[in-house]
Amino acid sequence: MRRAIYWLTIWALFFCIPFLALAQKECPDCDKAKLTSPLDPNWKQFRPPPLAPGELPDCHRIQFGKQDCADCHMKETPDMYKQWVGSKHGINQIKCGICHGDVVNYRTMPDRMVCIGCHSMQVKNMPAQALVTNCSYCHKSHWFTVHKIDKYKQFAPDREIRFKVPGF
Amino acid sequence: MRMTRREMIKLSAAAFAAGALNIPFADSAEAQGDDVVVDEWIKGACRFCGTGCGVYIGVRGGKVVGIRGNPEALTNFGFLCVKGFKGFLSMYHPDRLKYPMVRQADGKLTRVSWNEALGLVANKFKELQSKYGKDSVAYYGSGQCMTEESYTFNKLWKGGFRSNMVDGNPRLCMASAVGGYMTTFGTDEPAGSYSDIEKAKTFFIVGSNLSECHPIIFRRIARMKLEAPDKINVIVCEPRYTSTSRIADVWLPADPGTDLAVFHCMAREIIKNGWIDSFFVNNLCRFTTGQQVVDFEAYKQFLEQFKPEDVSKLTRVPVANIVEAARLFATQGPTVSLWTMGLNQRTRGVWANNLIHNLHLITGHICKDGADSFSLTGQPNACGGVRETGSLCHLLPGTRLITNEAARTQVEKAWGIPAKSIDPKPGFHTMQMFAALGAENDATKPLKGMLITTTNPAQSLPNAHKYFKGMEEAFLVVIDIFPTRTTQFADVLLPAAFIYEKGGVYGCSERRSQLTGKCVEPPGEAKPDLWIGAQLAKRMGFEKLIPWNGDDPAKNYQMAWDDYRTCVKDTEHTVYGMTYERLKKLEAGLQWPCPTPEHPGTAKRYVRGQDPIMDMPHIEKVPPQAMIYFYADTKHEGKANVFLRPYKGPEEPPDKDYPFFLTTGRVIEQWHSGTMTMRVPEIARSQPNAYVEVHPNDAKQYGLNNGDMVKVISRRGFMVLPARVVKMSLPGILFIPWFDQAWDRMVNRVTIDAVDEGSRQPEFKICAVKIERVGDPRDVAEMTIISNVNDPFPIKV
Repeated sequence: MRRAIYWLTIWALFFCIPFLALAQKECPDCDKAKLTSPLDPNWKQFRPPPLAPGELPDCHRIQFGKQDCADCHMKETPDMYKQWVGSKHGINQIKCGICHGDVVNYRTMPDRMVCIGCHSMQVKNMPAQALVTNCSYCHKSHWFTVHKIDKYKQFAPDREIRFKVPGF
Repeated sequence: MRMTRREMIKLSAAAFAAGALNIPFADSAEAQGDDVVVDEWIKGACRFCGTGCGVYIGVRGGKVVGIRGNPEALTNFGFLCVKGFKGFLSMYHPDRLKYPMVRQADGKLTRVSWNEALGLVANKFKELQSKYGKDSVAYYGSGQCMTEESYTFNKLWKGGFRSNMVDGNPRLCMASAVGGYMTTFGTDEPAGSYSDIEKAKTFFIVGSNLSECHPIIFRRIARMKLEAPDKINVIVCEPRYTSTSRIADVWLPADPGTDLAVFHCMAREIIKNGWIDSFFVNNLCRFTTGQQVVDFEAYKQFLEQFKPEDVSKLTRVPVANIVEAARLFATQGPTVSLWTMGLNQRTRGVWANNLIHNLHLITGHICKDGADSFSLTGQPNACGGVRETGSLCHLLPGTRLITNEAARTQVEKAWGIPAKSIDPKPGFHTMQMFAALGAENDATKPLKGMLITTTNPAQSLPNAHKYFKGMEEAFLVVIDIFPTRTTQFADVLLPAAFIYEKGGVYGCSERRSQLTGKCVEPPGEAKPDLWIGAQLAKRMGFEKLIPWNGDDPAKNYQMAWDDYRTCVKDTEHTVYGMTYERLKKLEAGLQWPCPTPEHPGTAKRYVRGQDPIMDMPHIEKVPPQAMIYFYADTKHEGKANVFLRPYKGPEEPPDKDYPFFLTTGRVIEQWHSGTMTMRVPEIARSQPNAYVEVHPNDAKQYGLNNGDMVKVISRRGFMVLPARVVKMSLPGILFIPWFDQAWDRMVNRVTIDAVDEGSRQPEFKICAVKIERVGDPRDVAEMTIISNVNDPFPIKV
């Protein structure tokens, strides 16, 4: 009996604590980016795409069809959009669908399988014993950095005024 | 999974600690290994832009299942862009061409056997050559073919058919850069390497949207700029405020085609302020008008006409920006200049290239660490495969001019063909070739047949309407992996293997050759281009010239490569030391000159101690005391030419009837005419259709809102596409990307086919257009591809 209680306690620690922790803030230094506005009221029309074998249910709340992701997200999640525009992904024009997929293979939280495509060395550098394997845990979406945000701000897209080009 | 009690306790403790630190749980231990389960990772190169990213291709069960950047590749250090990461998926698209096809009497392409298709091509080519002469059949290749393939077709045509009717799509993208290097330095391709980027302090990015067209090179620069914004200077010269301009300290938004004045003005400022390098000016520069050698004083005098105030009025670049750009360029070096089509695709492309070299030569920002005048190539193997193998109408392997008798003799000897059998007269360049292509009964058209591989001229030629009829009427053989606008004109369609289904060598912008291993078998009956070329040679009686027609594809590629490296052994482009064995072993490939199998390759040319050619008198004679020496100088003085090129604007500037400049270009996701990338869902969705980028001031004047349908009209044609109202191009300048295959949005229906008189490269980047609003926004996100080989061409030509 004592042995059973011992194992149950271990298993409880093993599974529950991390999830409890997740429900709180993710990073000791900063708050998770807040969504500032509700999503489009048409979200009920959403029909989730068929799942691939073995794929976990994951959905976009609105059937986006051929729409440009940025058209909605500029309005619906402006903070997130601005973060992306200011990020290295924004500077390099790595748009939403490249990581999040398209209408048939959409994923809310791209995992490192997506990151590894372009950042193989960084994913390879992850220690084998790492407890966290989701890159965006540290490389916060959609800045993808924490410590360089101020540096990136110098290269915000609306700074063309500094070039003083008449008529532009 | 077995676990001891001790391990269990350890894991539990770790879990507790993780929880306490708010760290979410990891995947299982197995999942932390390599993510894609593969039988094998095979080393290779990316098949998209000219950066030359090293990759590993994951193969499982005879199928490519993943791709990774190679962390040890010195081009990309493991990073890939969207095209590199996703593009290979197109190889499993159901539209892949799998069987040879021949157009029948009813106009439909029908499946035939390889034997029948090749027999037909060989017989028809022989018939045309005997009826209309050796120059009646042309080869039109690509900067995306493997080096071995371009070399083979070039050898077959020039050495076998004795015809110089050989050209390729690098004529449309890199010819002016070749012309620039050849006229200034006497030989093609840059002196430096990408490794100069990390040693440079100032970057002059001109006529290039690096962030979208060469994202991995851009990453290398952006990374430095973001790390040390005050120490790294970036000057961007182009009329659009692109992502590249976002990292700029100085933006020089010159109207298209006017930048020659900006470059001369920068040179004037540099000289006026005494920022020149006297050693270079006195010892390594020859000042010349092109016809006549002059002195430095004459150059100084010549530049007096380019005062900043006048240049500002002509180009719209603010005076202060030009002056600051000159200061940064000259005094905050070492400086690297990087450019692509904004300079090359112009009627004054060679001159524009010369003027960038001028800036480097007078300031001495060349042949030193972190300093170079570096042309980035657009295609993965335009340098290695076409420029270096001489697969253009005026060249021989080793970028030797076909008009040079000594070069012809060397090549004849290497190929084992009788002396004087190579025709000294250059063939037709691309635009001349397509203009001369036509029906057998049309006496005005000397070209009656053409073999086109790995390119899509029906979409990519400027002023395309003019050339459809020739393609329709001539005997056209097309080698490709998908149906395209060009295959719609094909009489014979031959299914090709994708790069990872055949392997071979690619040479990127920095003179680096990398070998890709064969990973999987091609689908259906698709075959490597090399096999097709060798089989054609065999059927036309040139088996001895092209003996690599055996059953082992890997051996064939190696034989062709060995033949090529022997052919260029005693040239300053030598790749003789790059054996297949070395290229297989080395993670990063090798840079030429590489004269021996022990040589480590050359990062910097013209510098003693680094460039082996400096000490190889049987190739070039260099005085023993010279540390820097431009040995390819045609006057044998070791100098480079600083040109006094007069100002000349674009061929078709805007006027009152056609008031806008139109400029074209790439977007990050799509590759060329979109035939591959449009078949990758994530990419297609990110850029589903072409659009016209309009400045808000212009949009207001024409009553345009975002998404409104606009008719863009030039003197040659029109197109209808949605407006993207955005503050990106200067007012008066429109931009349209060229990837879209949809008839309404094919930009080359309106572009101009005027060419540079030196390089014969067309002015894709500049023409005059007018616009009309034709309707409200429409859904045009069609992601157009041509799926059926028998879909007819959209118009009757």
